[in-house]
Amino acid sequence: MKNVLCSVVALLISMCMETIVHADILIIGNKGVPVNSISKEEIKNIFLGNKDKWESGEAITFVNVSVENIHEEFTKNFVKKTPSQYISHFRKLVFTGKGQIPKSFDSEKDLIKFVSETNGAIGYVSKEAGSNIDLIKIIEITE
Amino acid sequence: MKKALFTIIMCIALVNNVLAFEMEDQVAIYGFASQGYMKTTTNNYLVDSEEGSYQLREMVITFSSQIASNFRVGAQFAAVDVGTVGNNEPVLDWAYGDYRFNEYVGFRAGRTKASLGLYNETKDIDAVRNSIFLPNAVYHPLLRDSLLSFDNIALYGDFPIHDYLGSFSYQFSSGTTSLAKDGATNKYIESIGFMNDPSTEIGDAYVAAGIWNTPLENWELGSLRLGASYFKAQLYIDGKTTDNIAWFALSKASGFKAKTFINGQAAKYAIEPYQIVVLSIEYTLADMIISAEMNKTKSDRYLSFTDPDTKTTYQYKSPTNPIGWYIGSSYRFTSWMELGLSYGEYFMDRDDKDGLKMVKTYQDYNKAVPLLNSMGLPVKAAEVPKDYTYWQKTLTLSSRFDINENWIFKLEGSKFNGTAHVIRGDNPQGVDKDWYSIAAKITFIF
Repeated sequence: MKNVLCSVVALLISMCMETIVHADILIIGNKGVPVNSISKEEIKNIFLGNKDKWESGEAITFVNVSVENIHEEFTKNFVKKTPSQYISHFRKLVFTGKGQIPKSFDSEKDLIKFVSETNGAIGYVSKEAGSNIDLIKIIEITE
Repeated sequence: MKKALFTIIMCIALVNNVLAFEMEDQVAIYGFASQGYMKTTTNNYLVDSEEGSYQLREMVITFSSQIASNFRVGAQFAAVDVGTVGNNEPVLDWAYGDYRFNEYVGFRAGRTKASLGLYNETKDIDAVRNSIFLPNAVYHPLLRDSLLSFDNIALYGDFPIHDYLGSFSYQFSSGTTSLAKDGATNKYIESIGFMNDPSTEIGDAYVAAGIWNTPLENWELGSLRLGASYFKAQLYIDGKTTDNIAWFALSKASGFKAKTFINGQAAKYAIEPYQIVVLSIEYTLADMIISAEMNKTKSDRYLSFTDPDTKTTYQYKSPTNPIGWYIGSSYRFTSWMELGLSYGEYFMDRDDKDGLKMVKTYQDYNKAVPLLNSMGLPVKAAEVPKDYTYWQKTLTLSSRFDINENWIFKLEGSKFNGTAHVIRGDNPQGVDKDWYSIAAKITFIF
């Protein structure tokens, strides 16, 4: 019984930690992106390549950042995959002709620059990197 | 040509960054090249494995371009070498245009991969999985080209069922294909002794596949996908008769009017319908993936021969209904190391899992040979197959090492019981029931 209780507490702690991590990731978009908020399900569909247009009909360009801990937290918490599962997903798409591997930037600064200059672009950065930058739109995450 | 493809892949790999810059937003180029080695304790399997063989090679290059936001075109060339199959000759693996109306409906036309089970579309792309070989119990290694890709049209899409019911992905396709004369399927058909010099065409192939992404999709509790796919086609094979007992059965059916049925006469062999149902389940919990699949095949085989003198056509029906299943799991311990374990069973005929009915058929035939010879029929005794040639049970331990983002090394060992997927012609000395294999493979991917 004691073990079960410990497991439940550990699970709750890990779920709380996940919430904290969510708060540390910002979803950012080009200023012209026609949404101000986006659900987690939509984020997942966009970053898996299943949703390729905004409601306005404009094409979505989604981009990743290869800063290890940020990319890992994003794929785990929003796409529900590990980074290796995420790249495998896109390799499957590539070698069956169903998609291309999304652009990935070595730095958050480069990603922000790309998103700010590309119509329909969406990406993610850490809270520290994305706050107080006027070039981009911070998109609110809804459940 | 094969050297040319290899050279192209290597050159593109070397200057990939330049291309990525120059061709940005125009044509994306991807590819990989892999080289493997396989050794078995006994029984030549897929390659000359008893001696140990390096004839385990794949080279793939892919071009794709997003022409408009909803229109994509692409093509992939592949050269494989698996023993006597492929011989590094480049073939058009797929090439199609893809128009997506919206996320619910899209349309593809051209040569596309057959969406059968969780992994058929990617069975030549080992970089996307843990193991070197897919579980042979469900993904028949000797028929790989007959289920790989088709010239067809396809309808596909994804749609949410309900907020609490997850989403559903589907694909329907219809098409046809001709198989390479020296391909795996023709080699397999020849090996089972029904036809010599076979040439196979697949007509009217239909594939319907659906995957339900269940609402169980949570980092702590895991994600669950359930799939079902259905394939139906006809296989038409032209070739020459053999001394197989099936031809004897056909002679018998004709009342022994045409003794020339046996050996070297032009004849037809049809598998109609060739029908496969694959049920799939995949559960992912963080770094662990568990999958299980079952393949249930129905194949009614018809041998037919038209007597050149009387123009009468005789036909012999031989239904064969294989079944196979596996369960496997992989776990990624670190960003660079993953281990996997799987177990599967395959039976050539689900109504004769121990192979004894087929063994008895051969024994009865052999008993009748002296009498048939005395009647002037040119038949000879057949080698009675062992019961274990009608099943194959496989336990595999695999490991994968991602050296960096471009290089992958794999090492795996398997324990086999039975030889249903071992070609008799590759083992003229006979086959052993229990055997082991070890395989290694290195892949460069870009």
